[in-house]
Amino acid sequence: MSTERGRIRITGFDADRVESREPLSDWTEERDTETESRWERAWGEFRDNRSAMLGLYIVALMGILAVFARPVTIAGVTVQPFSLAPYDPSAILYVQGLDVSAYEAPSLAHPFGTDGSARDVFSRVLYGGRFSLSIGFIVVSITAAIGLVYGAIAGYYGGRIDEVMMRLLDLIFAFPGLLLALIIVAVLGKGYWELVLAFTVFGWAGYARLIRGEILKVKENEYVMAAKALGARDRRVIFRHVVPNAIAPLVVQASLSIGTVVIGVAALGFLGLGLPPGSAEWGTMLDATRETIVQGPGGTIPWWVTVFPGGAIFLFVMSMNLIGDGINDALNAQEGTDVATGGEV
Amino acid sequence: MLQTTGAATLAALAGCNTGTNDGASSGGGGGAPDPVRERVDVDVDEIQDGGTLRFGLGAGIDSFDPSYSTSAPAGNVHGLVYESIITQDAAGTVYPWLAKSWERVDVQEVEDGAYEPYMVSADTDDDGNLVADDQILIRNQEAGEVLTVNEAPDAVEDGTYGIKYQAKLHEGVKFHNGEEMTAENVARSYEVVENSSISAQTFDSFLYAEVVDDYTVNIYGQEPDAEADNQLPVDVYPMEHIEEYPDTGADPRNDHTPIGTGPYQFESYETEERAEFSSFDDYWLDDLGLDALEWWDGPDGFPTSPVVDEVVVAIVQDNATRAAALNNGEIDLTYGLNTGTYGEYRSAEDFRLSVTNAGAYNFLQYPVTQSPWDDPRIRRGVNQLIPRAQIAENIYNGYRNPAYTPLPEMAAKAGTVDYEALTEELRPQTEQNTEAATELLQEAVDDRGVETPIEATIETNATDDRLREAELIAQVLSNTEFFDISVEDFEFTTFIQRILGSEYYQQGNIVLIGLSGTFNPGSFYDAVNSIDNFGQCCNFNRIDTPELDEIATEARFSVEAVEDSQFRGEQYDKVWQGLIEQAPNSYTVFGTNVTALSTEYVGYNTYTFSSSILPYGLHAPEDQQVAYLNRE
Repeated sequence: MSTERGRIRITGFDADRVESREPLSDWTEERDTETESRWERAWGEFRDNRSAMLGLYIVALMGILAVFARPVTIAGVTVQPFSLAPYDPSAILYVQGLDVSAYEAPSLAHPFGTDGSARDVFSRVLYGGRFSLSIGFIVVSITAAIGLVYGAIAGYYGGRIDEVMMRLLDLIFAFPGLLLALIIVAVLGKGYWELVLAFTVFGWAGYARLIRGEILKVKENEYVMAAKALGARDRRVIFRHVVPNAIAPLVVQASLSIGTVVIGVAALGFLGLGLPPGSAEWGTMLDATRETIVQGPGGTIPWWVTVFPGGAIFLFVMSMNLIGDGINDALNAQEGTDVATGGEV
Repeated sequence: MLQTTGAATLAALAGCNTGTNDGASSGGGGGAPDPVRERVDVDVDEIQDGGTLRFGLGAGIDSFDPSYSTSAPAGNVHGLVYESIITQDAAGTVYPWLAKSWERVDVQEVEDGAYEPYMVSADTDDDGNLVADDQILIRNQEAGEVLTVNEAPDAVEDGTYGIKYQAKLHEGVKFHNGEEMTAENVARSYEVVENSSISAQTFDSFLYAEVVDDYTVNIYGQEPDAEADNQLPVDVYPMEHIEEYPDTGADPRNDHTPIGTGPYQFESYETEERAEFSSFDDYWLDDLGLDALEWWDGPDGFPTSPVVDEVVVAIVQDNATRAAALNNGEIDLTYGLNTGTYGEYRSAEDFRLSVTNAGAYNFLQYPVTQSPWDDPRIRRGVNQLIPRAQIAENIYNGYRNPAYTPLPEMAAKAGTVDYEALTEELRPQTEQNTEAATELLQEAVDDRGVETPIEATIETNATDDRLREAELIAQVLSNTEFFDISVEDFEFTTFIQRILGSEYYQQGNIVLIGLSGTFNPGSFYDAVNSIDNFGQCCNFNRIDTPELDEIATEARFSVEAVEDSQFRGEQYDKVWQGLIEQAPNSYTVFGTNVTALSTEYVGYNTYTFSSSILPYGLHAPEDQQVAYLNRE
């Protein structure tokens, strides 16, 4: 009997050789840094994306212009005293005693010309950002939040709950979104909060479906099981472990939706169903000047009354889309230089 | 009870109207000013026959039968096919038309209760209104009795009537179906209007039509009526229509061809697209000649009927699309385009603009039953803040005149003793005067302890020009310390339903809309002020001015009014002064009818009412109006 029976021996292992050979990777202890969170990494990616940054700058600029266009007064206290817009956006200038007529072409005094009621288009376009931007952001925050909770519950619990909740979604998806918004405004009447409501009441459905799909995937992960095994309650599991890992597509979707909502608001405004007539909202401005497109024989079209508000809508929506694409690229794990693509060694 | 309702209607882009050109009043007389601005004439020798005229109509045709239509635009179609025993020139003067002569035979005072012996008892409906199967002429609510068309002949036989007219008809007038027109047609044409959608307009004053012989008919009115010469006649229908067309009237959509005596006969209709008409070969005036018209004193060789062979009415609702169609030569003329384009049509080489002062105004109606608008000082103050000159100049580019009185000039002949004096008198109270207005408003506000700014909404229908007008007024009012006014707009039919609602007056809104009246000066009073018209055109806010109602009734329904035009004018002057004093409405600008047309259509002038823009331009001997096509 050999004395070596029952013992496991590793042969052919030469520790010296391993230590002295060329390193297989260039990893060294010094090179290791703190783990970078995906959000930090994404922001880095985003910052390197020039078109996305351009969009961000434009939106920021429009936001600043809108805020500082006219003073902001809350409950009698002026919280924002600046006034970048040269005129009150709703002021009919000849009523103020100024020698201004309707449809004056752009000039130094009125860089964007005047509209059919002799109001300053430049001031109106600046001020109009307040409506479109704020409605866009408010609607998207509310709808994304509702959609997140709804989708998370449906996706996490599954089964009959999921079944019922998803059929309700199918019901909402059966109607075109703009048509539903139109009906709501027609019933409730025109106004800022009516518009917000019109786009939020059914607008969350897309987010709900998206987040549910993500959650179906994420909830199969071991860390979810681990959290459950450790006795975490459902609420904690969903909102601490599942949702944060499923939220990336929602953020992308939300950033792209802001543009869609702004277009929707403008569309309702153009149909005369948005804000009260005479509001400086971009779509409403377009509606008020729609008929200037056809003039009498030899008449010149006052292009400035349609081009500038239309241009503002275009610029804002395009910028939002650039930002959305940028976020998409930044959050997409498949993108980036340190990820090998399939088939490569 | 008699209603003083004229044929006044709401005017919008597509206004509704119950009065075609026969639904208007004499007023006129020879001396009335011609409302047509820069009237063009044609040289009779240069007139060219033939061609197809294409007319752009800005609204659908609700019915081809005048007695089933309440739309002013549709009147342009009716006027091609149907004619009445009278016609009216642009200033409102009445001329016999299908009648050789049309004369007042008798007028007498009608005692209170004179019709009671002839009345029959009637049922009441759920709302407590008296109803009967036959057309009701007079109601006696307390006794639960009515006088219908069946009992009217008995009353007339006993000499109970207010006014009597006699029409002697032309012989040889043919309908499009070959039937010859007789007194029977005229008398029985009233049957067509019975219980139709415009019945109230006729049967508020009509009593009975009596056939005397084949070509003579006597027409009786319920009361002595200064407007009887134009309010009593109706369009004349053939027996085929009277006897065979059911309750829906003549309309190709019901397979009932419109048949009249007019210069054009109906050819075809494509729903909401186009209607086509061709000239009627057997037109009566071609056979009889213009000398058959006793009043005719125009040039020899003046055409006896329209010279254009075919008329196509193209329905294009959108203003901009219609302007484009005119620019591209798809249509020859249209009206109701945006004010902004007028200047271009005026100056363009291939186009022309024809402008006529219309019997219409835009007005603001205050919620007179709601605080603080129930205080006349508030209303008078607002009245003096309204920038009428700016509205006329900046919004309507001078194509409309500021309304310093409640009476358009075209109704001035019977509506006032002296129009200029009236304007002078009322202007200090209607011209913009911020100082005086502030004083009035301050007094009222202090007196009543009203909290300022007073919040209110001006509601109007969504047309560009009118919306601008509302915004301008709202801004001028809000610029004072007293008001904070916002503007809300609605699509026209939605808006009409809204403001005609019986609860609307409690909402405290100010209404801005247009009124299209008639040649009858009373139509500019009672439509917007008389409580009889509450919930109808055009008393939305429950205005009640009984003492003015009384004067206005006196100005039309009295023997004195019929016989003494000075008396009429004096009564109406009192009405206008009272209206400015009480200010339940503010009148902003008077309307104009503006037609843009190709220069290929020569000699055209626009009529005073938009319901007769097309037929009047084609041929109207009373104004020596004729237009022809010259396509090179």
